[in-house]
Amino acid sequence: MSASLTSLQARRLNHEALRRAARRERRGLEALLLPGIALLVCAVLLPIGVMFYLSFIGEDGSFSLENYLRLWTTPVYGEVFKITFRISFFTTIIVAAVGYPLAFVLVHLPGRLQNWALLFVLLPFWTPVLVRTYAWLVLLQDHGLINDGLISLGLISEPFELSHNVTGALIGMVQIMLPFLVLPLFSSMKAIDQNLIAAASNLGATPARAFRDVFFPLSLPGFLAGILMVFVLCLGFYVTPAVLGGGSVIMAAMRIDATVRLYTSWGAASSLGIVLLMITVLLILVATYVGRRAGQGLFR
Amino acid sequence: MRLLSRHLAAMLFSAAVMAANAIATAQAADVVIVQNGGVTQEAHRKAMWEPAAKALGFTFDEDTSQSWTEGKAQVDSGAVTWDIVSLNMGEVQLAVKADVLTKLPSDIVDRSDFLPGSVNDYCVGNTVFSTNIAYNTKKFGDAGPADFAEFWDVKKFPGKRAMYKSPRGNMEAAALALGHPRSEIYKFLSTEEGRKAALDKIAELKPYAVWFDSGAQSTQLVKDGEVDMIYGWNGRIIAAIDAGAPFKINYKDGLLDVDCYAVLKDAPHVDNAIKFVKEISKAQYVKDMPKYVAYGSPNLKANESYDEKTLARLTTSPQNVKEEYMSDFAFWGQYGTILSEAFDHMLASN
Repeated sequence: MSASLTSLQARRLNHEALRRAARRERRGLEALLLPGIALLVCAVLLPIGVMFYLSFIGEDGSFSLENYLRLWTTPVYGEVFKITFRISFFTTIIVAAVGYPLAFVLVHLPGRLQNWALLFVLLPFWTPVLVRTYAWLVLLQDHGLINDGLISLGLISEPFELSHNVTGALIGMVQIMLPFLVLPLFSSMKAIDQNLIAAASNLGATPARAFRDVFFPLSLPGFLAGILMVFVLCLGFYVTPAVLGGGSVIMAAMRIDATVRLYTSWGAASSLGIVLLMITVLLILVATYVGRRAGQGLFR
Repeated sequence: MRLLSRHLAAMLFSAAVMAANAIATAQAADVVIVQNGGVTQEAHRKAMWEPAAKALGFTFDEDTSQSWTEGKAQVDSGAVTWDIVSLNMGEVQLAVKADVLTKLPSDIVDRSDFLPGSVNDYCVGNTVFSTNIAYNTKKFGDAGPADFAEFWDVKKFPGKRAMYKSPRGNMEAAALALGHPRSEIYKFLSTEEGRKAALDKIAELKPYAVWFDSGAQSTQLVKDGEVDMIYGWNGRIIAAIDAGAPFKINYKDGLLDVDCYAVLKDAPHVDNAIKFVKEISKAQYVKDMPKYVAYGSPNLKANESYDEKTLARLTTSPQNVKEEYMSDFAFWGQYGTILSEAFDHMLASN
């Protein structure tokens, strides 16, 4: 009884000092956030705010909904958004289908080999997108290495149409996007305790079952994060679909660029950017919700 | 003429960075001049800017930009660091409407020396380029498409065609292919039915066309033999021919187009800028431009000093220019925007 009283008194004794220390520490941590917050406000929030405001300014400089009405009534914009989302969707599906097995193999490679393999995943990261895009052109075009090689071997007589169409744009975008999925997925797979898989086997699960019920659900957060990142990055693609797509693959970013050049007010292009941003945010929210639900379902 | 357009975000960001850099350097020079980079900018620097600056006792700074809208961003934000910008004559009307250009004195150049239409109250022509048919001589010999009806004839001339991913030039070409004479093109395209018919005509070529976004891309397509024909910019085609591509330019019905120098509104050195534009537009300087790039100046007095070989490469030479016609900049000022949207819609929909 008396012992607990003394400890209570003792706690009260340094109570103030402890609170002060805690407050100091919290303030210190908050101060560490400041540069990041300042950058976010200056480089992201403010410009988006300005863009949002500008999107309601018409050609004559006054408040107007004309920019949004134009997007609604001029058929090209709906078409371009459709293409943008369709191309981004297919790119993401292919990246996911190629990237998951790749990350799975990577994580199961022995140490030294794993480092080398990771290096090869990272290598393209260090090359500019434009260079990689033109490198694909060298490979894929009608008189490119692949078609010329196959023709000289006598395997085909007419070149495959691998570039200047949707196929070319997809190939280029998939290769450029692959590391964005593989890297987060790899680190999330790496963090999975291998003992859990051993335990599942111990409890009688076949390797397939252990993968389905243990490994896959645990890798899901990294997988979904990677998928979302790839999809969102795809939405803003410009150079690769422009060079490899041959004209028919018109992405939103290209139309925004054209709009900046063709209208005297910034509002015309701003409204395009805002609509793209809104749809993207909406999709992310839905994807996060669905992903969380699916994740819960798997763990149930 | 366009280099590859960059991602918009990167463009705005670099504009901000460049503006910051320019603030640091702009004060130092007597005039700041902006061009669209690459071989064109180098040609202008060596042929015109350096000797003209020397003659005036000026120092100049230069910058690179792909779009007049970066100049507009400076004017709109009240932080103008550029004096002289180069833009396409077809964009001048838009830029004037956006109130970003300074009106130039009427005596800045003698308009009678210049190609008709290449000088106006706000802009002085600096480069003439043309959009022409060119074809692979290995495939077609010297008997490639003679006119646009033949360029559209995929039976007589099978193969892929490179075309600019823009209504500019293609609308005119389609009007010609539909049988309208050169003098009637813009009258025809000024009607709603005319524009629709021209777009439908362009759509016919979709299965055979590779659409390029930039001049560099058009050179690559010709050089690598990816296309058998092109309707593209003469200087870019000549660059591919110089690199060994077996192509021949057909100047008949080529479309003349002009890039020009303008002075930004509220530019830091307006008076110097006007003096500089006046000086660099003189024949004594512009005549050297073809030494560095296969483009000529709209100042036709420069032609007097050229030999046959140089003239053959220039779209402004008397024998080539008489086959060609001038773009109607007022038409593009009026319809450029809606046609760009309609054109992309035509490409995007199946």
